[in-house]
Amino acid sequence: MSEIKPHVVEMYGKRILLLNNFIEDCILPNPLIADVWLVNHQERSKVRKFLRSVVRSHDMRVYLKPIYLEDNLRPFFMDDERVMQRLSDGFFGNTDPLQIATLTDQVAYFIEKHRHGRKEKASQQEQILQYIFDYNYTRRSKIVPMRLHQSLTGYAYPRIDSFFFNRSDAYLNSRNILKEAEEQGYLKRTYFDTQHLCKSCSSGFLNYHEVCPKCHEHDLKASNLIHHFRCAYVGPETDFVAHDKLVCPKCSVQLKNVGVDYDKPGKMFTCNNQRCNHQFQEAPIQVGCVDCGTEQETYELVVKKVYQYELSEKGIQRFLFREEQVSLQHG
Amino acid sequence: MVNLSIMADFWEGYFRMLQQLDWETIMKWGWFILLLDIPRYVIVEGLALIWSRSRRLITRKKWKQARQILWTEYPLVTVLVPGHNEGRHLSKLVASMKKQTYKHIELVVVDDGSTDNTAIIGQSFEKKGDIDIFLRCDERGGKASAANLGLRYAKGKFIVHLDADSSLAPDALEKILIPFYRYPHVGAVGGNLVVRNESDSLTTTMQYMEYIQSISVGRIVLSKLGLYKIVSGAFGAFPRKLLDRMGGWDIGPGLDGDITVKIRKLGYKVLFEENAVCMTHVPTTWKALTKQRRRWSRSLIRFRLRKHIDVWVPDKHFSWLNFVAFFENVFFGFVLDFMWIFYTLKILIVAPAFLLVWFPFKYTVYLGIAILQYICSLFIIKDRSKMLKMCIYIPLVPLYMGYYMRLVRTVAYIGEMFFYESYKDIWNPAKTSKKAKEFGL
Repeated sequence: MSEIKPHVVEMYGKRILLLNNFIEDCILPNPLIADVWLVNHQERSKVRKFLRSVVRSHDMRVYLKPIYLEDNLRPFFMDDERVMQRLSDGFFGNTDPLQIATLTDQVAYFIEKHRHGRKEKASQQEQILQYIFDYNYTRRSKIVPMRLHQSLTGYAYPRIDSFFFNRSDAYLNSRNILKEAEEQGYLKRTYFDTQHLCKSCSSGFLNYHEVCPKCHEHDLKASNLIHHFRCAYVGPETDFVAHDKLVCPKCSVQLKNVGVDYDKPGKMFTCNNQRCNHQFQEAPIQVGCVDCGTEQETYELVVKKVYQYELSEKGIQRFLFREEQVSLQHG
Repeated sequence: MVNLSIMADFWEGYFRMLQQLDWETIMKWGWFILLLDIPRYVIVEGLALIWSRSRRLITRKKWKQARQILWTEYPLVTVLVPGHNEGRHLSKLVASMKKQTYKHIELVVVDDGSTDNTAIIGQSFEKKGDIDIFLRCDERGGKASAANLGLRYAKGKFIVHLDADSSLAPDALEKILIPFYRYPHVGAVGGNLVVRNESDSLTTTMQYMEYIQSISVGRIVLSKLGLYKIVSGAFGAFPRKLLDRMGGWDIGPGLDGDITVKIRKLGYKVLFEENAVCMTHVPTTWKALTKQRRRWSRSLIRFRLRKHIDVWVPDKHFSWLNFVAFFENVFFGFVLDFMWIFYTLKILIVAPAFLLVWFPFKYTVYLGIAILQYICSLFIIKDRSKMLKMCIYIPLVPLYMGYYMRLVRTVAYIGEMFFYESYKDIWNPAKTSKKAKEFGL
């Protein structure tokens, strides 16, 4: 740490640390040398790594530190931008200076009050819950799920997920921690969304295809049926196509006005599998998992609800004000 | 004792009344009964029936051979069932298909824009494999279009057209296919319809008698004479290639009359097979029956006198058989009905009192014909005991056939001739009837 020369600037009466060199080497700076940290590194993978190590820090002076992103980094983050915002306190330029100052003061006050007497937590789960309460209490925020295609199911809780190193651990553990805390009354939940997940790997990235009911291949050709009123001929649209016109194969008359000469009473699938060529109207839907490739029926999918959480009074009391007296009981 | 004397009085009065009639009066008012009805319905029918039955007996070896060829070839047969809101009949239909002696069948059911739960029922049968192809149109297009859709996706060598509310005797499919192997150049075979719900009401009982006595027997005779022209839509078989060539069914007040005429025009034989039995569900109320028969009767005007008017024209496509078939149909259906009404009105105006004598006399004659027909049908029908029980209804047959049917038919003819009623019938959707009328189909 001593090798890196911290670059600190004064602004609005607060000391702001530019994180450039720390991010490059992924080293956490000494929390005492500045009030606010500013991300000004362009390489998004390194920034993400740095922000995640901040979350995972055991020092509340680190993980509660107000961290902002430099505005001109936006183009470099590309589709990680929303995650970056979630893992930090937002873009510097978008934020009211007064708000930054308030947050800094609140965090400083909170740390002053709670730092002493904190014990090392018994389990990772408790440490994470402690983090959740510390962070969301100082930020007055809720734990909101976020649509994210890098996650396993398509929904993530970026801060909680940062504690884990792969997507499926992150999914299983973060949901579990939140669920248990809710069951014990420390968190309140509200419905957010419902998901259908792969039965074998819980992935939310699924490919729905219509399949042939006989051979289960999904290479199908769909064709509209046409009913020619005048002669009562009914057949797929391909029967009628002659150059760029529709001509009835039974009476050789050109079809002009839909609703007057003809209509389309339904559609028909043809299986392109040469050994099958089955023709049918009702194509069952089959689901293929994009991640693990498992093919499954729609009814086999795992249905999960996604919730948004907020701190409950009981939880605040338990984690922030009475922690010394009560011992944790996790089932 | 009192009863007996009343009976005696009645018969005495009856005979005295008949004595008033001499041949001259009978010929004056009822020449068509003696010269047309009796020869047509008693003599010609009786002779043709005897001829048909004896020919069958003599050539039974050939029929056996034909059956053997059928079983050796064992072609795929498509059973095509178009219907609108017929879902509730499907389980019975599927069951009757499973009982068939002929097993190489493909069941194609077409749901013509049903508004009930037909689609769900049909799809579940398709999933189970009881229905091979279940086709659904979201928009109702009429029975012809539904049949054509089924035809488009049918794969069988023969198409057996069936109504959803009818069920087949176990050997019916086999029996309806044999004529294709018995005779060359057969374009259609009609099955024999028997009323399934004969005990529902008097309406259905009378139809039971009618189907056996006049429809069945009449068709055996016409088929033997080469004049058979209505393959019933409820149960008929066609070679698929021939249907494909004609583009299937056309829109009309029924499916049956038109396609058979088209097949006959192409020079094919159309036969009736009395051994291929199909149990059908008939209307249970007089109102529903009247509606059905009016629709059937309109087709006489629409098809025989309008759409297929060319059959009457002696050009290079002229066929005597087709001409006679049409003539027989139109004359005994249409002309005689109007004649009957004309004479009844004439008596009513000229000598109303004479009706008191005339009606019992005519009734006696037609009752005689009905009894003869009943006896004939007893020789043909398989389920004799049931038919025997029906004998108490014979006295109603002349009223049913002679008055009720005649009236319904005549009203339908007039409605179709002057008001084109068949184009307004909701049996076909308005969008198609509009086009049919526009092009004179």
